[in-house]
Amino acid sequence: MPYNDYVSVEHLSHRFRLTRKIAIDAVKDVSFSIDRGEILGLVGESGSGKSTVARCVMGILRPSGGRVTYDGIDVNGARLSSEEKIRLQCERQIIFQDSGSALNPRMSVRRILSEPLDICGLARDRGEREALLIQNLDFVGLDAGILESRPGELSGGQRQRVSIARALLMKPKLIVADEPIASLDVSIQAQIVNLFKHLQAEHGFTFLFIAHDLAMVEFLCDRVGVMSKGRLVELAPTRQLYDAPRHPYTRALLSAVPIPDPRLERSREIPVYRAPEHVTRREWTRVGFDHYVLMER
Amino acid sequence: MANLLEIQNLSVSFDTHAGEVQAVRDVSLSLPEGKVLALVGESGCGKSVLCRSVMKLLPRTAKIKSGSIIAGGVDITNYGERDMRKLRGSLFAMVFQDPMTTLNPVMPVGDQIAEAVRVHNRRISKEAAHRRAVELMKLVGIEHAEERSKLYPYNFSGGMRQRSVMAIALASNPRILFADEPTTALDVTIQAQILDLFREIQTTLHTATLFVTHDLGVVARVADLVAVMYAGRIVELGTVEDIFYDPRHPYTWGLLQALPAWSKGRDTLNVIPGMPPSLIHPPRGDAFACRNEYALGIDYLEQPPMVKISETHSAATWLLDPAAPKIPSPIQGGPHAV
Repeated sequence: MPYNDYVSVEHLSHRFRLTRKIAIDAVKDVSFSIDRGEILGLVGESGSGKSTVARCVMGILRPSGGRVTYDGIDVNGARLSSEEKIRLQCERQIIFQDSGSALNPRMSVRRILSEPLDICGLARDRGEREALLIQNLDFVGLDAGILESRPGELSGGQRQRVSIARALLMKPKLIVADEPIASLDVSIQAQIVNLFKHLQAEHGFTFLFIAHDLAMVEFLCDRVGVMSKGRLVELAPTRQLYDAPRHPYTRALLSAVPIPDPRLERSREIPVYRAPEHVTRREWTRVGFDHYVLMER
Repeated sequence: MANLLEIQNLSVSFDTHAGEVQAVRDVSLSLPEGKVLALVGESGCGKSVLCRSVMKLLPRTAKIKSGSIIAGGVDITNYGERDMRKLRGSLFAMVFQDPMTTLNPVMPVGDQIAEAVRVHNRRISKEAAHRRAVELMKLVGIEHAEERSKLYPYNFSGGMRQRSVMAIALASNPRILFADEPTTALDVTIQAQILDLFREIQTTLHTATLFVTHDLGVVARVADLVAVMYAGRIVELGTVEDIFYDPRHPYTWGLLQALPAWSKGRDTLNVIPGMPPSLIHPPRGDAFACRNEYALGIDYLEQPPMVKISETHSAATWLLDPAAPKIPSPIQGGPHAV
C-alpha cells in the first residue's frame, strides 16, 4: 500500500507519570503529517510538548496513545521485520538541543562520528570511512583538524556542527532537530540555519524543526505548527501562518516577537494570551488552503 | 544625574592550564541612576564576567588585573568577601538566567522571598517579613499573591517563577540590579511581560539595571543605553537610538544584519564570517579585524581608540579616524526604517 504521508502522527498523546497519583499530560491528541522533502517547523512555549512530540516521532518515548508511522512503518509496532527495524534506525536521525550533553565527552570527534558508521556497516574499509568523515565535516563547515579533539575543547557552535555531521553521516531521510540553535549566539545561529537550508536543498531530506525562535522558523520552514499546553493549535504553510494567524495564541506569539527597532518596539502594546478556562468542545477546523486551526469553545 | 556604578579601565583574567585568559580587557562603563544599560555580545565575549566581577562572584582563578569599580560612590575594587556580603542584596542584586534552578524547589515561594527580606533586616518579625513578601509579589505582578505565597515553585509557570526571582532580588531595595539573560528561558509572550516589568520597576524604584543579553530585539524594548562587547572589550557605547539608528562599529553592523528581519525575502541569512578569537592570546590590534570586511591595514597592528561621536555615543574603530576612508553604514535605512 503506497503512503502519501512520509511521516504521519495520528492522535498522539503522551502522559508522564510522576507519582502514582500525579500525571502530566505532556501531549494531547496531536495529529499532523510531513511530506517527503518538506521542512515542518514546530513552535510553542517551553513546556508545550514540542520535545515530547519529537521524541515520540523518533521512538525514544513510547506514546501513551495514538500512532506514529514513518513511511508506512509503525514506529512502535510490535511486529516489525528486521529490515524495517534497520530502516527505522538508520533513516531517522535526531539533533538534540544541548550539544554539550549530546556528545560523549570522553570520545574524540573521530570516534563520535565513526561509531554510527561502524554499527550500521556503512563504510567498507578504513579509507572509505575516513573519506566519509572528512566529507561530512566539510558539509557542516568544519575541517579535518577537529577529528582528534574532544567535545570539551570545542565551542558551542562547533559542537552543534559535530552533532549535525553525525546525523548527516547516516544519509538520513528524516531529520528531527530539537531546538538545535537555541543555545547558540545570534551570528552562529544564522550560520547553522543557512547550513540547514543549504543541506536540505542538496540532500532533500525531510525535516522536523523544533524551535522557539519564530523568525528563524519563518526563514527556514515550509509549514509551521504551533503548540500550546500540549495541543497543536494551528498548522499552516509558513507564509499564511505569519500573514494571517487565526488562533489567539498564535497571534499573541507572533506579535510578542521583539522588533529590533527601539522607537517602534516601545510604542506598541503586546497582547496577553489567556487560555480559555472552560472548553467544552475542541474542533480541528480547516480555515484555508492547508490551514488548520483548533477551535475552542 | 549621579552614576551609581562606575567601572574604570577594568581588566579581569583567568588563570587556566592553557594560559591566562583575558576575559575583560580595559573596560570603562558608567551606569546612571534609573537607567537600563544593556550589555550585548556573543557568548564568551566577557559580558557575564564583567557583571560577576562587580558582584565579586567570580571563581578563585579570576583576578582583577587593573582598573577600579566604584559602586554607590565607594571604591569597592579591593573589597573582601566580608564587605561584599553586606553590599550584595542591599546595594546590588542579581537576577539569573534560569528561573527553574534559582528557586529552592522544596520551599514555598513566599517563604523564599521572606527569607531574602530577613537576611538583610534581622530585626523584622516573621509576620512582617511575610507581609513584605506578599507586597513584593504584588509589585512584580503576581496576582492572588497572598494565596500564591504558600505555593511551591513547581506550581508556578516559567513567567511567574521569573517574577518571584525578581521579587527576591528586590527584597532589600537594591540600587543596582544585574540581570544575566533573564528572559532566555522564557517564551516570547512571557518575555515581553518580564521586559515591561523591568522598565516599570526601574521607573518606580529608580534602580539602575545592567542587563546582559544577546538578543537585540530585547535590547530595543528594554534598554536606555547599550554597550556592545567583543572579545572582552567594549567596542561601541551609546543610547539605544544611537546604536540602532546610527551604529558606527562594523561589529555592531554585523550583529544588526545577522537578524532575520534583515534577510526577509532572501535565500540566506547574513552572517558574520568566522569565529571570535581566543582570549588566551588575543590578536594584536583590533580583535575583530579578521572577521571585518571593512578592516584597514592599521586594524591588524594597533588597537583602535575609543572615538567620541557625540555626547552619548562612542565607538572603537579606526574607521572613525579622520584619515580613514569614509564607509557609509550598511544599516542606514534598515529593515524597519520608517
